[in-house]
Amino acid sequence: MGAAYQAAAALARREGLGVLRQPAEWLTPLAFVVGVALMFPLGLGPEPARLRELAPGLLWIAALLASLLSLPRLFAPDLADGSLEQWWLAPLPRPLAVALKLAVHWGFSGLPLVLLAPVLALAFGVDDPLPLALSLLLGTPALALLGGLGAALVLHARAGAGLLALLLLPLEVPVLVFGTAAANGGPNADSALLLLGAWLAVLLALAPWATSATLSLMLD
Amino acid sequence: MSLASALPSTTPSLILQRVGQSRGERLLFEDVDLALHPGQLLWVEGANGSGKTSLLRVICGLSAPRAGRVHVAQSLLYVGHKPGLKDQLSVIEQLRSSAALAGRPCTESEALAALAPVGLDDAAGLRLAQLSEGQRRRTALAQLWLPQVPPLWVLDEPLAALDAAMAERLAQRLDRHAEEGGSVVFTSHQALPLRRPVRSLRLGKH
Repeated sequence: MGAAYQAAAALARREGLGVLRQPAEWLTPLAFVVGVALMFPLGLGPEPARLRELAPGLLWIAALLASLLSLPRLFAPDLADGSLEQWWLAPLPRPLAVALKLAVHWGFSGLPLVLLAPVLALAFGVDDPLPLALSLLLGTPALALLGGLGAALVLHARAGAGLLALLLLPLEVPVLVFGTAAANGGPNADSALLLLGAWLAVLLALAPWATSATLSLMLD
Repeated sequence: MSLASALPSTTPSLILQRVGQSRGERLLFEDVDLALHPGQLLWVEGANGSGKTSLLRVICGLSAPRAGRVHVAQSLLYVGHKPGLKDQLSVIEQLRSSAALAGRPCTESEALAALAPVGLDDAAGLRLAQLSEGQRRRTALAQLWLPQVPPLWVLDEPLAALDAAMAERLAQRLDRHAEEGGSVVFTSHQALPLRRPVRSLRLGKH
């Protein structure tokens, strides 16, 4: 096996083990979404029809806000302990190292939400949770890619968490708009899902490069 | 004595040409010229803030020099002041992970063999969060005892948090690496007990 493959596998494994052994890192966003979902009947009233109608959009907003929770610590520990330097010296293209890091991050933060949200939707009486699951399957990686870029940009900033939210929320509007349109079903759902997929493809093509360039500047 | 120790190779491992670096507006060093050949050891000296770590980072390509050119002829191993240790990993996981990340994977038995000279073979299963600063430093330095190592080593303050016995073992390892034709660049506030001649590069005011 080539050195690049070895390096990529090592990076993914150490990141995965690191997150797996810090359950609070990936359980907190899940608990946040469940907690917010429990608030829906309290804030909106207990009418089943109203909850059924609003649940997909509200769950999307909860998923988007949950994605912000772990971002301030996405790269900060790697900068502090020198891991970023080791990635940069690895026989691996830097954007690929970033993409692997973000893939592991999504695997522990976004993917559980993709699996959990339909269950919550069913609990609110949504007949077909599949559109919600599909929209989150395409939307949460997009949020992770945008979040990675944002986390890199505020790496040295004081009050980085607040700044990160201010920076990311406008950038995440297209994901939210397409995602909720797809999740709600209806005549435009397929188009919204395609647009969401296209937006994800654009981010996959550009975000790892932009994030690695930003991280290189932060390391310099 | 090997050929490398008797006669420098004609192809340097590392060439610095009029290299300068600054931090913000502050000039750290300038016009650093150097050719380091296989078999040579280079001690980068200087007071705190003189730019020793900055020079090592320039050599590794982690930061761009403000001026001049850097040419590294061979692959290198960098053990920085912050060597990428993850608290959640065990000692042996960290060592194998660092080696694989550098594209030089090792087996569990090779990793255990590398941990023995740094006195951590009995602690291989412990998480790094449980170790002292000195043990963490030894974990990072254990890479030097792995069977596959690159020819050029760049070590930032390798003696930090080490006791005298470990410093002696480290010096022996650096001597052996140079005898085998490798090169080492290191920073240190104190002299390493090396047997081979050491070139010195002093940064900052003399």
